[in-house]
Amino acid sequence: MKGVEMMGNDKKNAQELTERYLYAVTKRLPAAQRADIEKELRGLIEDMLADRTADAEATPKDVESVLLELGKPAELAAKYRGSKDYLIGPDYFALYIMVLKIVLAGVSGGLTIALLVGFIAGERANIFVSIGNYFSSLISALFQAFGWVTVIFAIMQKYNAKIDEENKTWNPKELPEVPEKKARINKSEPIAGIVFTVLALLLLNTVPGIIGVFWLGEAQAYIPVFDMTVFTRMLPLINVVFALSILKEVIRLVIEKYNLKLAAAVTVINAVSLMIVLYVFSSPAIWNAEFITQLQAIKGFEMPADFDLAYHWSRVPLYFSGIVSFSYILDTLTSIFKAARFHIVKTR
Amino acid sequence: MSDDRQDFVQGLVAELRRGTITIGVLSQLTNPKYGYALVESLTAKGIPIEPGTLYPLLRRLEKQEVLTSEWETTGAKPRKYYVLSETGKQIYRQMCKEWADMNDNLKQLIEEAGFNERGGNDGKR
Repeated sequence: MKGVEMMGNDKKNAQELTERYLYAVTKRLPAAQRADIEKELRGLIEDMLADRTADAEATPKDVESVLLELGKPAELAAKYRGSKDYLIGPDYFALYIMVLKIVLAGVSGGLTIALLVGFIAGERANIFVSIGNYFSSLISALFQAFGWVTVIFAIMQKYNAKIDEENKTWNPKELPEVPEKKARINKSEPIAGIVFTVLALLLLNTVPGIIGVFWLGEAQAYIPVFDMTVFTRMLPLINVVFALSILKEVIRLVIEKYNLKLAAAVTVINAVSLMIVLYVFSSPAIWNAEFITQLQAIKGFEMPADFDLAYHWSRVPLYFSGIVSFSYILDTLTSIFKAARFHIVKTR
Repeated sequence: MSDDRQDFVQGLVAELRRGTITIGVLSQLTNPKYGYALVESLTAKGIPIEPGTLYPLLRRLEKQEVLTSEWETTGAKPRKYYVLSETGKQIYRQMCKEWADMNDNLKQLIEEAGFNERGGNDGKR
């Protein structure tokens, strides 16, 4: 009696193992092919079992050895699909690693400096608490950065993989020209640009008050340059400018040389950035209206006699706008000039 | 011979084999056969092939319209039979010719190099 029961169990177990294997394979296949492949594989497993057991009842051990011969379900399914699935394929991998390094370095550097400055500038809590906070925010920031970069590249991969299949022919004539030596953009410049921008972005978003005058005379004082309420309100717009600046550097990294395409992109980005910067900083509202009063209140501070500080402070929005406009215009003109020059050299 | 080198050689042999599998399979399908019967007949003739490789290959060839298939449900077990299509026959003939050419050329190369079949130098150099 007991023996019969055990044999019944064995048969059930053997069948269940087969079903589990078939399910593991077919769930990884396109729905339209599932039923047919399942039917065929079931027949195959039965044939292989019959071969081993000489038509006796198959034990779970027999089924196991057959399934081991067929191989891992995921691998078998991959052979059926025939295509390779990548999250980030070989075409993008090198660029992905490079961008990841830049972003992670920027985030760690920026966060370190931001928190260091925050610590020195007064939020002098327990040093152990500060270090703990530092590591927890660093780890979460690094994971965030890693995640976002990966998501962006995965989307690029998915989108581009489809384009690749559409035009599989490759024409050597379409290879980009080797850029004129002087027209090449040194990678370190855009990378440095990205690192500094990320740094500034983190600083302004974590410790916005740090831009100010530290008075280290006999009386120590700290006077912020900006009006904090207005500044906080404007911060999203300022972040847009930073994002545009990072975009510009990434475009430089990708195009790798001065050409008309790059010049056009730089011109558009700079124009938009400049408009935002002028909108935010050219009106007096964002600048600390009490700056001079607070300065004069510091013990030991003397107003220079031959320099009208109050007058110049009132003109700071103008000076700032001028300097920013100048640098944006200079950057734009340089890009256009270099593009035009190397374009002429090339067509000559 | 070290294990590493043995593995390397086996890898090369597997690579050679992979390229010839399709011709081997096509050669057996002038008459309809189902997958496992193919595994057995190929293995018996010295061309071992794993079912996990053959079954997906049959599907791919069917998708390329080299093979056609039909379910045979009158027997004890339902089985899917594959056979060469008209295009498949032409492709098979073409492949046979390519293989013969390749074989001739390689043979010539090997003979010119003066190595005998056992892989040793027969002294011609």
